[in-house]
Amino acid sequence: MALGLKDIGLAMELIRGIGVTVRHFFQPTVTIHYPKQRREPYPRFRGLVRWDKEKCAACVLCAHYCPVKAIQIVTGEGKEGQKEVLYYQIDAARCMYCGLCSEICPVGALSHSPYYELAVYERQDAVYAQERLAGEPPIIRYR
Amino acid sequence: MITTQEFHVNLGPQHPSTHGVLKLNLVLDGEYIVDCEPVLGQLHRGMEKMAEGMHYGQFIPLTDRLDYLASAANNLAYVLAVEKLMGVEAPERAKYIRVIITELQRIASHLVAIGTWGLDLGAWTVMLYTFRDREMVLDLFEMYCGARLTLNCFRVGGTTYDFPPGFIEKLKEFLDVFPRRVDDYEALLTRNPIWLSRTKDVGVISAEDAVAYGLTGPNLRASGVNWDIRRVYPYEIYDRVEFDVPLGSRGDAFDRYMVRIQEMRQSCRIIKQALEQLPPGEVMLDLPTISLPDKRQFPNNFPAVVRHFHLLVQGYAPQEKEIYLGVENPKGELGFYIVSDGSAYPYRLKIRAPSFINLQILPKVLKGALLADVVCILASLDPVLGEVDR
Ligand code: SF4
Ligand code: SF4
Repeated sequence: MALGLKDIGLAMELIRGIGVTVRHFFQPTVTIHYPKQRREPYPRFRGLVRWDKEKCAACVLCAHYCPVKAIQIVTGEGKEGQKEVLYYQIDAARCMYCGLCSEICPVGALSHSPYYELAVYERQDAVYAQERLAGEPPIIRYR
Repeated sequence: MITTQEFHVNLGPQHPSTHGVLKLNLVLDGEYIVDCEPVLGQLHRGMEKMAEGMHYGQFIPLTDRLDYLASAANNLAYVLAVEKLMGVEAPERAKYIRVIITELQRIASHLVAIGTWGLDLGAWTVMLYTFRDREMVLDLFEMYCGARLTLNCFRVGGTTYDFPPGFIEKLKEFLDVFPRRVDDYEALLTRNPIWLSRTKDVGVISAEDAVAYGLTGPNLRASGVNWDIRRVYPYEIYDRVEFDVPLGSRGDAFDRYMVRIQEMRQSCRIIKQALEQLPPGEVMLDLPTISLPDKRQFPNNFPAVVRHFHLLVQGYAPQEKEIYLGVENPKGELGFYIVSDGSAYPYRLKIRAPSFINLQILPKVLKGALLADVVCILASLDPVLGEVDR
């Protein structure tokens, strides 16, 4: 079988394609070996929402405005007659990390943390309430 | 006696090449398709109805979930529609930021379109390279607003954030390397004999059909119809930047590929010009009727506190009117038709989803095509099911 011009053209194109692949062998790796290496998110990263009980003014704006109603608050009267939060929970499985609640909270009691590995074994573990809303979340990390 | 009969095949909804939960009921005669009926609605979430129970500002994060590969572009379409309804206009700097982010979003969306299309036709490598480069865009998004996929970064009357320090340098770095990366995809695909034989003269859509079926975006332009809303009805700053509208000639799958490749190059050009012209200033309108007051003045400035709560609890009410606004999304014309009855909630909100309308031509294009080409034609139309089903 004689090789025609067309076949040479085809072979040239395939070689050109392989050339791109070969060139990439000698470029630095871009992948991260995930469970062993973790990538640091940027400062504005919108991860798990955290709540600061000390700052919160119990205005219930966040629960009202959250588009998916992931926040639940029970307010009541404190010792000196002031309005106080009795119970606060964020359902991390419902939350879509849109950032609206931390944007509108008038006293900055809500913030986004850099935590993003939020898989849990039980459904109720994804509901963060009261003291679980501050500090590092109890995340089970795969090792 | 031997009889022949047509053969029914269900493609999807759990098929990796249907790019989502699309189901196609195919009727086959041998290898050829006699009839095709797309079954839609498996990802239906009732977005339009949900909007009726929300303030105008609360619906922005849900528009992310329409075409989730181009969430900022959806944000822009919705925000512009509400701005038109309210009769306000964002500050200059915000306009530039919006255009830069949406053009990046266009690049990211086309990268997924071409990468997964290559994957469907067996060109694995392209997918790995396009996703690597999309990662750079997603990193830029994360730096800008904290989210990588569902950005929720534009607001009625501006944007939430200004560019953080270091962002523009990183963006320039991306703009430097990206054209070379596009050359790489082209080296792998554009003249590759296998790619050519799988896409040339496959799924041909004539210009008349494309217009008759209401196609928009790259699918329309691949048929040679010069229609780009950025050019025809310029919004934001598109009348101040120079760019070409890439057109195809035959309207086959290969032309749709070429149009997407060239649109990515044009997006780079737009971003470069926008960066040069980027003016200083505010990114959010300071208008008592729609924008939240500065939080730093809070405990002491009582009227500001009242305004803050009023805007978030009562919302803002536009006048009683109806508007339609369409913008050029990566997939085509995304339009919002909003009817306001003068309350803080939309009376009716209709989304003109480009993927949904682009998909309508599928039965016509598929008739007479080979079964093996279904995946190629579908990928060339680039539907996103989040937008098809809403
Ligand atoms: S908006 Fe802020 S201050 Fe008000 S209830 Fe929520 S967390 Fe507390
Ligand atoms: S981030 Fe969005 S979805 Fe999550 S709790 Fe806040 S407002 Fe609700």
